[in-house]
Amino acid sequence: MAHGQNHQMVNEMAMENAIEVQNMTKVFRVLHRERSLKAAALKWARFRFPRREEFVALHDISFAIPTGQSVGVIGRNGSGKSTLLSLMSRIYRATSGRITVRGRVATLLELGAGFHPEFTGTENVFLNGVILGVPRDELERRLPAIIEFAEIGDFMDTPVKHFSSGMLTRLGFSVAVNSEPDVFLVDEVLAVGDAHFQEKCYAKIEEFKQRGVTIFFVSHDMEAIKRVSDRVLWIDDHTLRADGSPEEVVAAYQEFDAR
Amino acid sequence: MLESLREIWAYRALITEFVRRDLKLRYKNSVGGVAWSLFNPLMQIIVITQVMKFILPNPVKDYSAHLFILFLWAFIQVSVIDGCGAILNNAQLIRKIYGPRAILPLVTILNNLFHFAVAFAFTLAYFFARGTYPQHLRPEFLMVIPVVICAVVLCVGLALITSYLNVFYEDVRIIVSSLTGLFLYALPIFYPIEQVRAHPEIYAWYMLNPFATLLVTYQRALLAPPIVRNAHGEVLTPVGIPWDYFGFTCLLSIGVLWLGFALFEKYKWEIVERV
Repeated sequence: MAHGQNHQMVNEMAMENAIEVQNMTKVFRVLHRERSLKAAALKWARFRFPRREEFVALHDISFAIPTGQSVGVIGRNGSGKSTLLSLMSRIYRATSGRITVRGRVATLLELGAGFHPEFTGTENVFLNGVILGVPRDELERRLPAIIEFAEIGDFMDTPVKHFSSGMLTRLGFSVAVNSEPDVFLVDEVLAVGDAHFQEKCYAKIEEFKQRGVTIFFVSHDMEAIKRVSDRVLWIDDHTLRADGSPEEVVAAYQEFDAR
Repeated sequence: MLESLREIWAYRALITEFVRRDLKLRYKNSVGGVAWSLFNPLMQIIVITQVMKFILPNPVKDYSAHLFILFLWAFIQVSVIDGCGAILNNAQLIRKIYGPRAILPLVTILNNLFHFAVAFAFTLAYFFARGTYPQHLRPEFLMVIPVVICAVVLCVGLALITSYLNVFYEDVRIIVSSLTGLFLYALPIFYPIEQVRAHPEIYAWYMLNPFATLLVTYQRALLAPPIVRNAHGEVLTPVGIPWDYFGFTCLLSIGVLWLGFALFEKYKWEIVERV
């Protein structure tokens, strides 16, 4: 009996949530304000104050993701998926509610975000790696692995402004996966790579799943969603419309989308 | 606020990386590299020296050596202008990557500090080559350190304030750059401070300008006061290191930094949504 109890406790510890979002609402204040001090001063002089409009980007979202789960997020354009990802990577602050993300986070919100066009591939690996929180000497050690995964060995000394979008994605993805994250947040960036590279990415994601990395990714590719995720969230019209198994949620979404 | 400071400290590797990035970019496509950070103030020194030969009735001995404080002014001026654009110029980065945003203005100042270090080394080399040093090297020279620290504190504070304002009003940058241009005339660069000192009622106000005090202190740390004569040929009272005004400037700089940081802290989330 005592043994059983103990076991359950260990289980609960292991099941600590990597991501928790509680009653989270995000309202953007759109200010119709003058962009220049001169124009603003002229308006104040005539007692005209800026108009304020509010825009609810996400309303009352709650979910919890246990460590090691892979979660796909689907929904139409403009429904709030990317805002959710930005909130989880602490770019924005939630208007109300709480967001908790535990562990080392790697975020891929945009192709080559944080890359500098004038820098070579190698220089950008260091820049981007440090942004993701990997120390420089550690990056030095991982550089061969990063180059190998990205498959752009010959171009590592070329400024990335000459890179194709596929090469940028590969390099960005390679740095991110080699930062050994606990939580991996990805926004629709895999769509750019060719079939061969996508295969490699899926293999890497499989490996991450084996290692217990929590994956949270946004995609419009339903096949990818079904293949990778253990669970799917469907965001529609700024709220969480469904949260369940990939088959069910994807089917419901596809039926809705066809209408 | 303390937590934010701790976070900035935790991100120091990123600060180093950004400084490295900006220095590399600056010199990547230019032959001569570091020499460019000397070019502008040096040309000014040469031109002013030549022009002043015709204008000043009683030439000051070693006039051009005293003009080397222009490097410090160039540091302050460029830091404030660059710092002002620090957030808006990195809008792409801020929207996609998390990091304490206050490091961006800080990075621009550190960058310019590097250029100043090069200019300072050049100043020393020049003084030794001319024979000014070691002959005129005095213990006051050590005051260079607090002057530079104080200038950095003031610049970071101003950069935090103006970069925040610049996100909301884009013309702040233009206003800042023309104001710093105007300041050149309210600074003892072209004319010796002794001439201002000759009018005590002006001097008291004049030295409340932190930039003027920093430049005077810096100049007196490098060189002894020059002998300045007025139009009648009388020697004006020399001005040493203005300790009282320098103390005031230090307090003011800390105040500006605190204000800048508090303001930035308060609005840091709005900044991201606005850029």
